[in-house]
Amino acid sequence: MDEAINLFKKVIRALHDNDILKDIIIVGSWCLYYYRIYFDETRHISPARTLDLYLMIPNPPKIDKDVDVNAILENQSFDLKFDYNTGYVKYVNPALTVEFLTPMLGRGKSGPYEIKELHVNAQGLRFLNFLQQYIVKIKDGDIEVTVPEPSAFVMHKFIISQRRKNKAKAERDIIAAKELGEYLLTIAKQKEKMIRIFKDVPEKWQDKIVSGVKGNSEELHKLLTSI
Amino acid sequence: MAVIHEILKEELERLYELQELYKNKIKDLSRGSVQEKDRNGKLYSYIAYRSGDSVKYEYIGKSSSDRAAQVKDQIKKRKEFELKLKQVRKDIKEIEKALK
Repeated sequence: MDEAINLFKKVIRALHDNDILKDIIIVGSWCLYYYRIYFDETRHISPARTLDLYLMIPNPPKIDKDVDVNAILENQSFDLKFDYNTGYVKYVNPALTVEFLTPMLGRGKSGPYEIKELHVNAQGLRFLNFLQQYIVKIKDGDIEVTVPEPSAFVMHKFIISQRRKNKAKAERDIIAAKELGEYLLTIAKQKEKMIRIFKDVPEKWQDKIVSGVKGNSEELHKLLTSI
Repeated sequence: MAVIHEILKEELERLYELQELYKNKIKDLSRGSVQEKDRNGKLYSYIAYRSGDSVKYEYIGKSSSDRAAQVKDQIKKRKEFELKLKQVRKDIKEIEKALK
């Protein structure tokens, strides 16, 4: 795990040095690394995470320069792994895998989204626009990263857990969401944010969130159904 | 603990995939190492590789040639992939042990 964290930090540093980190949102389980920093190293947030680092490019991307992220990752000893069936690209290393994601909007499209400015392609996924809409900047040393608001992260996990084909992954989503979600309820400011974000999302999404929470977290269910 | 178990299983799958990837990449690259020989003040490159008990030399060309640079680059890449493969195999062993 130490190797993964070291490599993760090198990737983040390289993106920061190339002035592109500000245009990327870190999503997936590596957010928990930053949430722990954000909440003063609380032990209420599990350090468990996978070795897949997901970097989200907002849709539409607001990137005003050309940066060869492909080359940046190759310099960090990543190799490109191309999936001939789907057209998706992963950047692999024994310690860490990097993948790019982007919100799938409207009717969506099959196959990857080309992010020309960064020389990468990204997988389009539903509901990621939820994460891009509610973000927070967190400082780790001299580097500032963008991650979803913890409340948005929690609600998104509850939504996607119901869409997963892989049962084990769905269970992990629920555990992470419940753990973080219930911790957020203990912080007044975070609880307020959760209520605000929940009120802000479309009714259909609210229903999906509530159905994901139901049976998994009594505390969260009580709060969200009282709004 | 169930979460950790599932993460390890997922990681094991990732490593199996990587193992295949590195094996395939290594297969496509030159094996052995590049050796240079000085003949009449000019350097010539050879690929040296083991074949059974003996070491064989395969002529590449002048050390300054593009072909020699290309082979050197391939061998460097191959060594990098071999190191990564070694790391992956070590990690696979550790995770398989932990999952038993």
